[in-house]
Amino acid sequence: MNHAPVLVVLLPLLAALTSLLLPYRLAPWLFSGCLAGVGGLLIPLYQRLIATGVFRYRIGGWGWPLGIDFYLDGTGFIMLAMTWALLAGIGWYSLAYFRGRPAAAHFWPLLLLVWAALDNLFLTADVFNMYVTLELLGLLSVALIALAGTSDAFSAALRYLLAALGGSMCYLLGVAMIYSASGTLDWVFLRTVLTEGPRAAMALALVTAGLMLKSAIFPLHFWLPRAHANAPAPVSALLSSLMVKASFYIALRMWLWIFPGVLHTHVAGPLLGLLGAGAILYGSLLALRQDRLKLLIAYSTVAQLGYLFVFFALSMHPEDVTPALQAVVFFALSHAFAKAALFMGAGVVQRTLGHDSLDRLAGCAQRLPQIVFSFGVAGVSLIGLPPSGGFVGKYLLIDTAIRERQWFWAGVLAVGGLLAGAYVFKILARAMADGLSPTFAPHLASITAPSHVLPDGAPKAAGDTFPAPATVATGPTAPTEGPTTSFTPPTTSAPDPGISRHPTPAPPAAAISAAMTAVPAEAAPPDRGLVWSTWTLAMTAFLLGLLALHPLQMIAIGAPETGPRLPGSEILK
Amino acid sequence: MNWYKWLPVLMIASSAGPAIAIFFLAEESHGWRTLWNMLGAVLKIVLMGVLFYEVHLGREIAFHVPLMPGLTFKLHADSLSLLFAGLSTVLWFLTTIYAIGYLEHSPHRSRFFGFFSLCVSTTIGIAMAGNLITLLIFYEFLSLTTWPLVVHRGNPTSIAAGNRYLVYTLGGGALLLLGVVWLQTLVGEIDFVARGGLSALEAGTHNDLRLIFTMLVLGFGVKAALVPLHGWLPGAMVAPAPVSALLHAVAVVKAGAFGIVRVVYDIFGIEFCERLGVLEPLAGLAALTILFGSWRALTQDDLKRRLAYSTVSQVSYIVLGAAVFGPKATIGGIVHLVHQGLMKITLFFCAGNFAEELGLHRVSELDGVGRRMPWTMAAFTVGALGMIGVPPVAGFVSKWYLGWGALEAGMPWVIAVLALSSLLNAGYFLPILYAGWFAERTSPWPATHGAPFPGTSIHFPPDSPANMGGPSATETCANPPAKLPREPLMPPTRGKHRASHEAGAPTAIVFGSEGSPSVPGGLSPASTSTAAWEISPLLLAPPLVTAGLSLLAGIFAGSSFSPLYWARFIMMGEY
Amino acid sequence: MTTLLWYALVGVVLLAIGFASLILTPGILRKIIALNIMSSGTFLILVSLARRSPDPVTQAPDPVPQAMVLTGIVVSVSATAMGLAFLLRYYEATGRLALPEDDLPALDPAKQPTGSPDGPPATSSGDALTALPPHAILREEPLPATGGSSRPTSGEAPTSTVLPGGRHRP
Repeated sequence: MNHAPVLVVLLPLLAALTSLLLPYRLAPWLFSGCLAGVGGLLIPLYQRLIATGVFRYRIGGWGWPLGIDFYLDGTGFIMLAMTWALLAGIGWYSLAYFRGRPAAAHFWPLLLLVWAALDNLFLTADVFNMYVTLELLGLLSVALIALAGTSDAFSAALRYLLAALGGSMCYLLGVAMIYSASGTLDWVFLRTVLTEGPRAAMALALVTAGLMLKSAIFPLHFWLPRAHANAPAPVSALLSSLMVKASFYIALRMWLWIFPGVLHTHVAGPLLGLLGAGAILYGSLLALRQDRLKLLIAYSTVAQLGYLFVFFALSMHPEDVTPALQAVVFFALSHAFAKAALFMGAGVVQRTLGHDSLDRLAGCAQRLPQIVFSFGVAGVSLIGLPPSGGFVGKYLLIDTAIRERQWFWAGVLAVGGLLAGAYVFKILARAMADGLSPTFAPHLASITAPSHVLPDGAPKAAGDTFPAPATVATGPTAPTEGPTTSFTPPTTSAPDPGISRHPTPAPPAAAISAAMTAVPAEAAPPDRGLVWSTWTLAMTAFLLGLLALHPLQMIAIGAPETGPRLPGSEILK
Repeated sequence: MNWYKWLPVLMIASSAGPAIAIFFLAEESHGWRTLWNMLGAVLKIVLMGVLFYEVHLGREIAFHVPLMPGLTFKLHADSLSLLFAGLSTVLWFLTTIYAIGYLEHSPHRSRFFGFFSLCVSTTIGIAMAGNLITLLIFYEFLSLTTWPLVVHRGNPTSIAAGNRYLVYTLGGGALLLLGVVWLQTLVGEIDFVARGGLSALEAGTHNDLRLIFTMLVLGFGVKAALVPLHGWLPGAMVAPAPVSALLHAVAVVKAGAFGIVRVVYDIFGIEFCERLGVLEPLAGLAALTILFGSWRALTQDDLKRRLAYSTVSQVSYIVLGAAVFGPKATIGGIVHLVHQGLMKITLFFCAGNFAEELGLHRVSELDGVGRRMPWTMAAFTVGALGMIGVPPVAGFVSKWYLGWGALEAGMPWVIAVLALSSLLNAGYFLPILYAGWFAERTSPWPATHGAPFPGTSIHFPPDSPANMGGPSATETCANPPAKLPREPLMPPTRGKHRASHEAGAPTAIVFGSEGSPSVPGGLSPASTSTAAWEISPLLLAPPLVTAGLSLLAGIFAGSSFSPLYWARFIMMGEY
Repeated sequence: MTTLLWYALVGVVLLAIGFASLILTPGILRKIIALNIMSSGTFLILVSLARRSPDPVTQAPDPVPQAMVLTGIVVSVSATAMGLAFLLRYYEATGRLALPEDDLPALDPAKQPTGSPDGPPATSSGDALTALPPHAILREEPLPATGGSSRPTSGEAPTSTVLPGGRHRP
């Protein structure tokens, strides 16, 4: 299909807008339709890529330099496919997770918008378009985090918002510098027209600084752990697997495709690599010190993103950079699956046990064997043991490092795997420990450590909706039956003059505990959809190493060559 | 249509498939689980037979798929593979039978057998790996599949032992990964070829190659329990007896030794190693390990720990055989792979039987056990004699060849090491044999699975050493005996402190309350009938079979069916 | 030429002010305003880049940076709107107007809000009720059956808040 590239973006966008108009129960159907549609559209893109290589698509027929073009190469396609696969898994999980909860009304449109933004990002050839999608993603993430409805989630979301806006501002400045140095915004052509000099260097510096803030690279990672940990489980999975990859993707394009000819210093790459190494160390050590499961996993994201940035230290070699590129993109791919599975599993744990405290995980392996198994195999991919995708990525990265005689980075990568092993097996050891059955006593939990009882663990009676309906202590009513017009987005701006200056406080502790003790001590086993979706993503991460060959070959399509600078490639429309 | 290239894959799948099926079985479905287990074991033996036949006919069996650009996943069945794979297959069959009997009424059996079977597939994968990357893949995977077995019981000791195990194996794995990647950047893909393929490299890389050799040996050496990387093995004895028997005495440590053998013979080539000069340090390290392991074994009172240190020592015979330049030593080392496996598993089976039937964990408690459990003790004796090197048990054959080869290679100090080690082995095995056969029992057995003879009542003085931390006495009487933890949860004490366990812990497990003439209700019929046998046949048969095999391997060493013959065959390809 | 330079310089100065304020000032509202000032600075720089020659008649300014500025303004407005909506929600949920790590210690330690989002709840004593003016936000008992608008429903502990500077902001 000739218009496949733009349809890949339009379809989720239209679905998102439609889902706002329809009752929220239909939203999952829209989502599934989108999955089928986008999946179908990816196939001709794939075929074209394999047959003829990279290609451009002119939106509206304008073309460069007036219009914004879409440009598809192997890396972009892998990212598109990754997005599709992960959203399929997360969507499956969310189906069960948000079933019957009014928060679903907000979740599905937001998810579809995220999808549209990500597809746009991975296809676009215009750096300013990237800025717009980056901003969009930031705002959407903030909204998604806030679906949790707790004060922790709000503060984390606000922190994320401020950091994201700051980072985008930095990036925008960088784009301005790029434009002033080259006169074009199309990154495929930028390589040929970018003039060297202080402007280009400053542009790269600004862009990288902004993207580092958005990718939570040490030491600018402060917003990530709490944001990812306090979001609802499918949102955490989405954020850790896809959102952070978005800003990394832009950084990749900048460093490998746009700026290589401009970098004369050999300091820049190793500097980023050092920050990456610091992230690995710092993130892993802090992960070991956590006593909440979701925070541990979030710090693990900080650490794994460090791996991605170590790549920049390895990419400065003047010879073929394709193996390193394959390594890092594949590593990002397998990390996405593994991390999503981990967060989804943590969500199930929270739902079933009522808490996500690591100290009270004993006996989890008996209650949730498949989930603990998923933790295991996903963790294996994080550590980088065969046959997982992480192993292939790590192997290739170490291979690149040793070929370039960069022993330090090879050592860093190997040690990073060991540190990941430490915190992965910390989770597993706690879960496999026998003895006390999990203390499922949420009424005690709410009194002693209220911040640990997240909405994921709260039984439906107490509700976790944002915003909650007027009657607090009762279950989430379903306000959206009937005609679409009756579905008013529940907002607190519905003026209630008596309380405009007095926000409603939480119900008294007694009501909460009463609601919570309504749940029997032996809670029902988790929804099969939750368990199986987690397991599927974990097994994908685990077995990805066996399926590595073709994705690796795809990444090589359109990889930057180090010879003469490439002009734009074949134009599709 | 060469269907036989799928044989290695089928071998691996024959236990991986049952593993996956078992994972999904409910805890109560004993029948299905046993069925899957035995199906896999039998199928594997059949496939093994077919493989031997095909290789005997001279067929080249190799299976490869590309894995990454420039790397291939390759499985092949050469003579060395078949040696190790054959050993693993036969022993797995026996251990499955043993495990079914041992873990009756234990919790989490589905999980256990699932991972157990996966371990075996991984070991077969290691045996059949055709190049270094495939070996690496299965080697690392083995760490993963064995960890859940070490921490199977879920108590703090097991978890701690598991953590220690991980630190060692993951660390070794990282070192191994670096070595493998480095080597592959130098020479590209490395297949295992007899005589090794590296001798063609120019001299400038020799220093790098020495370093790579060291990294590879150390990486494999963690699992092979080379000193000082052996620290995980004694702690891992906290796992259930079938795990200790097959995995930590046979599969895991042999995988490490096998890896070193492959590196020396099929990657570097023994002659190239000699030129590089790495063999002498390796021999020194192996000798150090042999002596150190035997020395430490002398002071252990816990039976399984003593056997663990003995394993540390014995596996290094294989490494020693690889490190001594000469055909005889090669034969000695390779054949010891089989012999040590047979003998050590016998010993561990017997140790498991002592613990299971009589609650004996300490060497100091073994007085008079030979009268009570003669067959088990006999099997133990065969195994112990073989360890010491007494003919005609198989151990003698391997030591003989090792010594002979050392003489030919002009390393007489190796003979001194061998002699000293045999002395030390005698030092820690003979007392057990003496105590078992000739000593008089003065205190009652710590615990018995069933009443030894109907009509007796048993009660214990309050301070007798016994299983700790098991269900309380009354519980045990009331219900069918839940499987008590077989391994003491306390760190093993030295021999002197028999009675100094903490008071207040449940010490006495009373089967049959005082005075009741009948066997306590709830005991399964199998256990009452064991009054006729000393222990359940499921637990008795495997050690007897392996002891018999050790004897046969020694007696018929000259025949063409023996492991020795096979080792000779392998050796001829390497020189 | 100097006009161009002035534009750019002013843009840079605004950027610096905004950035410094973003980092240093507590108070979310202030940070949002700082972000707006930063964006104004960026847009000024962008606009200054649009100039191609001193004489706009002979050569029109470059439209691309102007387009970028327009888009940027739209983005900035949306982001600000979202930030403000969030601030309101956050305030209704917690009674704070600053992120937890930025909160200044209360004058009365007994009423000190928690230091971290996951920290233990601050205890509120009875005298806190009487010590504060009526429109301070307290949590000990729910307001009687008012239209419950959004608020978090997890077991969030009651906190009392005395806002920085001792002033009571709604």
